[in-house]
Amino acid sequence: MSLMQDYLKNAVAALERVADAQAELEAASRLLADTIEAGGLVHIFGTDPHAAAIQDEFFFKPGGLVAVSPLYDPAFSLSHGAYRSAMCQSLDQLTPAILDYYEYMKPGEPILLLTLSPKSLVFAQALEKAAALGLKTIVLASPEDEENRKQLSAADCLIDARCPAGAHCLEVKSVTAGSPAGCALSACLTCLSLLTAQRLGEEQLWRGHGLVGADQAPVIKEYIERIRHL
Amino acid sequence: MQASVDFIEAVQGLLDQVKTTQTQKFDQAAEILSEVVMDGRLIYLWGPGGHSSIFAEDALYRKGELAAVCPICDPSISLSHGGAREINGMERVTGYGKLIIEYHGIAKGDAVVLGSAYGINPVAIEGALECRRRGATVISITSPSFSDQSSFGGAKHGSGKSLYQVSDLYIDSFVPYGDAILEYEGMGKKISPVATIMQAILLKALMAQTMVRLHEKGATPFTWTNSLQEGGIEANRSYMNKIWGKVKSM
Repeated sequence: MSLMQDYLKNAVAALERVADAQAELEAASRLLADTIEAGGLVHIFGTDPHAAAIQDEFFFKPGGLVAVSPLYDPAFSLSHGAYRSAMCQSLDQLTPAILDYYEYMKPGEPILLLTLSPKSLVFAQALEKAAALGLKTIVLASPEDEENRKQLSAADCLIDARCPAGAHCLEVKSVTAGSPAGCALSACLTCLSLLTAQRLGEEQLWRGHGLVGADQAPVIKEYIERIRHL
Repeated sequence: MQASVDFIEAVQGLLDQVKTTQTQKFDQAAEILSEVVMDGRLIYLWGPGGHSSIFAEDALYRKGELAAVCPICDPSISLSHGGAREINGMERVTGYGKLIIEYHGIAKGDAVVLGSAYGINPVAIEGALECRRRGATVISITSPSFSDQSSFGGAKHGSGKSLYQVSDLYIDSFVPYGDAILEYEGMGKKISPVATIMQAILLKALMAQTMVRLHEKGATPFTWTNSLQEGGIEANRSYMNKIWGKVKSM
């Protein structure tokens, strides 16, 4: 089989394993739906650059949930310096400082914490800080081992994407490549969005084709002062 | 009450203080910076913290300005991604100052002009120390009297040091403690901060002195052409190509 076929086979298998997370995804979707129906916001934060890119799948997307507020920081964006973002992963107290900035997150509201590096300092501190702020913590990640699983299980809900970054990879000239971990994480997030959307009214979903449509202006106006990055 | 005039006169007063006391420091700093440019290097400019970042941004790709500069415009240490984020949080994250110096590849033989009027921000102090550890020269534009009167430990670097104390050379901007300079009866607090203006003017003065020093040494400093005029972009292109990879903010 060719490299491309091997990758696609691994990616399909990774997506199929996400189905095993149904129970956790359903539980999380109930929490998200209850929050949105009560007028609250769902927060989302990817604590490494590729997880931060994946979090965009949950924000301002046609068919997706309106009441979503992402946390963004230049430290987790490749666009502000990829090497810089790599160095930021080991900065002590970085994620707590970022979480502190988003002061309008209310205790009891859920925060989805995404990562492809579940053992990183920034992720561990984000989880701890989110809990200290009284947020309901929902982790979307693939534990790398049992000890890591135990650490991640400190969250109110752990959605195991069942595809650690180093697993199910290929080798290209003795370099590990083609990880389907991002696909699995993205699929978990999209499944969560769909399961939550199913529980809500149409008015709580973005409409559009490819992009959110211009007719959504009244919805944007309602939320623009509440959602920092809208 | 003609506050606009009062403000202008107050700034003029501070500039007079600079003019009468800091000339020799400008000469010393310009000498160092001109040697750096003649050595084929860029001068790093960094305003580490919130409004201070304007200091470096103003020198970026500006008509008439010395082109051999590398303004450091880190998004986390500027107001562009959230003023409260920067001032209340990011400038106090340990390790961040070092990270910025590492990211920009500052090394032995380089010169860094650091602009921070208050001079106490932990990222600034950490960055300055890291620069010197690497063998780069640190010239700061700062207000020692402001730093010395700042007593809130929570806003300071763990060493307790201020920027003027960890620089090889500093130029005093005489920004008064508290920054705001005008006081009117019944208004309660003082109004009208001067830090950004004083810091920016002093950097301009230093750059002017450096460009003239280069000229005196027989090296015509390249300055940017206005890119808004016909042929401007083309005039800048060859120098732009030379520094593109190095100047991340370009």
